[in-house]
Amino acid sequence: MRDASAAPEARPDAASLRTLRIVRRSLVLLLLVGVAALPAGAAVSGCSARDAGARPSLTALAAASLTEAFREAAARYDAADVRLSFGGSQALAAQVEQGVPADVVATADEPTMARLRSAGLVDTPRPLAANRLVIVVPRGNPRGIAAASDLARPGLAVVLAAPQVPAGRYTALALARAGVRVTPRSLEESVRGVTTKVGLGEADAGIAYASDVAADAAHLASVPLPQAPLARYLVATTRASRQPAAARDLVDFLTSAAGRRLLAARGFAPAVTPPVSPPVTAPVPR
Amino acid sequence: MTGRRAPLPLLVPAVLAVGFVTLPLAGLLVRAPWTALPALLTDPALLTALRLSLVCSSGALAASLALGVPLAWVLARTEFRGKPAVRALVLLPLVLPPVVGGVALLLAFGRAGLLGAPLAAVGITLPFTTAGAVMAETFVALPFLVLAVEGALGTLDRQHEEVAATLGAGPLRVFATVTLPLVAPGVAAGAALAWARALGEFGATVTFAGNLPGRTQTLPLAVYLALQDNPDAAVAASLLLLAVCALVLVALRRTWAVRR
Amino acid sequence: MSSWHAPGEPATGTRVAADTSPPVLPPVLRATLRTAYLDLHLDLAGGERVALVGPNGAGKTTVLRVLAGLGTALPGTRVVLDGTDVTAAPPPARRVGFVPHTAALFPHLTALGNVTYGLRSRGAGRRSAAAAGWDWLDRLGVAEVADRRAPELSAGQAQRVALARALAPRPRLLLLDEPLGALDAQTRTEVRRLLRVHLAAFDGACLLVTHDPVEAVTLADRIVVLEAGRVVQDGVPDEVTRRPRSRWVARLLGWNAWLGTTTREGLAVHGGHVLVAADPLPAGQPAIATVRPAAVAVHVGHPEGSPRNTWNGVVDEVTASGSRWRVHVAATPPVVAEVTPAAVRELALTEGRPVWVSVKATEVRVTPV
Repeated sequence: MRDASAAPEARPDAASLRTLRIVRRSLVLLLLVGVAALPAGAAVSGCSARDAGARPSLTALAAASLTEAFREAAARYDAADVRLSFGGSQALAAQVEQGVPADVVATADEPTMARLRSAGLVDTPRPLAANRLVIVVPRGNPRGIAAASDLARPGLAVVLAAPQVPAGRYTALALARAGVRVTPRSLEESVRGVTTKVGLGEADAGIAYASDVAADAAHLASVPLPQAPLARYLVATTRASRQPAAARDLVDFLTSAAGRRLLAARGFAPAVTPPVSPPVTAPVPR
Repeated sequence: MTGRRAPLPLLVPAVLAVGFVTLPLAGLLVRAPWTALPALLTDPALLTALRLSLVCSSGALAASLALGVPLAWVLARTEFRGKPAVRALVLLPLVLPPVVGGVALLLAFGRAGLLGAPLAAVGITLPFTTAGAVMAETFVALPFLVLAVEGALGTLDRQHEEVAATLGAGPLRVFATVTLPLVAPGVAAGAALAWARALGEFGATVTFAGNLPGRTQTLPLAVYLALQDNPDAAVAASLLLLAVCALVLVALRRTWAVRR
Repeated sequence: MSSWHAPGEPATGTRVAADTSPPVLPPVLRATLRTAYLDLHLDLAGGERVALVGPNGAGKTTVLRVLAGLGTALPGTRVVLDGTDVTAAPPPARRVGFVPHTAALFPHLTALGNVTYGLRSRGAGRRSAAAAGWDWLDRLGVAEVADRRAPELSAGQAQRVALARALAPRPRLLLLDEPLGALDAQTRTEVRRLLRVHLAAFDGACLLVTHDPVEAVTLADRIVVLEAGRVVQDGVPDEVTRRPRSRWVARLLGWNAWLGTTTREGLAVHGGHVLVAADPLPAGQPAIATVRPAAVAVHVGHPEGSPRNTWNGVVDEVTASGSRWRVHVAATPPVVAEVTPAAVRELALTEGRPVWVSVKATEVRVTPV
């Protein structure tokens, strides 16, 4: 054992070298764990599992609430290979404006589609479906919510959609019509956020689309909200589409009887043409 | 090493790297609605979000320091079975997607969560609260602090601590009066990183704490939502965040210099 | 001689003043040290200064660390300080002052802050600690740097501040690791003088590690030679320098030294050749034979006359040493002779020249190891 003489001055980057060593070792450990758990967590982003073949390939952008319905539709549709991308209607519109290559666009409200139309980015939109807002509660309705007025109960954890998204605007309208003041715990930036929180049991109630409740029937139940305006879903082909004929064919399928049945099974209401009451155009919040 | 010109194979990627980072910031500055900026920046919702962001990130920093420095000390100075596993666990939030982190926090501290359920029984709820936002930010920021401080402690010359012990200082006193001052630059660097990370956190915060103006809507959340219907406001808020971070970096410039 | 203590404080130690019999100093330190490398026993009395010397790797710094409570000691180790067994006690519980090789001042504190650290750690108030600190800095002649931080001090100043820091809490055992090692020649002389003064006044025991024989001889009452973790010699400086029992010390003093086994005539050197000594020891013991280089004569031809030891070899190297020249001769055994410059010229002693050396038996001293 040598004499323990005084240690030399620490090198300037010895700390970062040691840090890198620690990070490298830990990342290797984590990577191994992650790879082992990979099969359980494979995310499906709407890719069709069929072979590419000679079929045309189409890209469709759709509102988040159409996720399950459109996935099923794409699986059933065999005239083309449909790649799907979901998001908030505003975000989708922004993508189309930025030039994302899409053939078909489906929005959850009319103003967003009107914005694309007036920019000359889409062809004439067709009514796709309608969706109603409902009160979402955990399955079994443990708190016994029966109407919108129950949402104002003190101590009730309510989550709503943020006013910046269409669902949020409709929610505000519905509550205003019902004359109910709700103090939400959170204003989620997407409707799916509302249903997730209610489904996990973190919130006692929320307001979301009927289709969202149908998408998670195992954890959710709905209570009717008659004051809710009808959300009108529109679908259109984009002007920039490289395969306009195939795109039109897809839109025809989606608006056909088969398409309507599919959407109805997923909780959507049939498209209303022409609108019975003046179309709801919520004032754009500033 | 003064006046050495960088060799070309190194200079080109270096310039590209600078450009890669600077261009988006330049884009932000160029496209900013300069004339409307004063009105946008005095929007009460924006200012509330800024205030909340500063409060939450400071809280997250304080929590990270209180928990992270002792943890770093234990990792750097003690030996025990399973130490590599503990270290990997602590660094997990670094590689975890923030939203996943948020979901994990819900499952642990939510109303139906492992710890959250008993807490809720005694009346303590963490989701949807400012405290919850601080927790989410601490979750993602803590590893940065632990990493930096552990590295600094590991390269510290133990002589000073040993001499302090012989002079009569117990372990806690040695830690407070000798160890901490000597690793202060490393702690400061780690704290800056952790604070910046906490300030910019989005996914874990929105998933665990939700989004409510005045209580849990931090500036990144406000920016994301504003992007939906008021892009000008989004850019204004982004500029604000940028300015705050730049200020902090400038203030800490001396710390980087001292460390070298 | 009065022991150092601030006015109003009771004196420590047990010096008996104004008595005819010499003061009886109780043992301050009784230590048996066993580590993976060390196996030795040390006894130090109050006021005693012991120099621990030895080659690199002998374990000297480890001895200090184990005494201070910093090293890992194996069972069998026992450290008793002032009658109290402190073997299991952590460093803060021992009254030990430690000055490491590089002074190791706390860089974030001023010199005064460093000196008062021990006092404050043991509970002294800020004012009284500061007063004592100033006192110590003054005694060691570095009062003017009290407000400066460690990195701003010169090596000599730092060493003095480190000494003050170690002495201020009144330890019973003072451990110095190469106190003058980091200093240049001039500073070394100054600090050595200061050390001698202060160590004389210190009433605890002092163990200082050094590899400089001058330091050991001038500062210590006793020298303990450590080699490979074992004590090889333990005696007063005079004894050790005159009759070194280890090759290392002998070499250090500039002597010729050969290990071997005693014979009836003298010493059978390992590797061949028997040296004849005037006062041989009983045969069969391991021993070391030492010869001063000045006692070795160099001849060009086979020497005649009385020297009982003669052997031949080849000049390896000729180096200057003050006003003399040292001639290194490669032979069995190798030897160094000290001659005048005139002799080098006359005999044309250059590298490669075959020569004969002779040593009188009276100049060969054989010491058991």
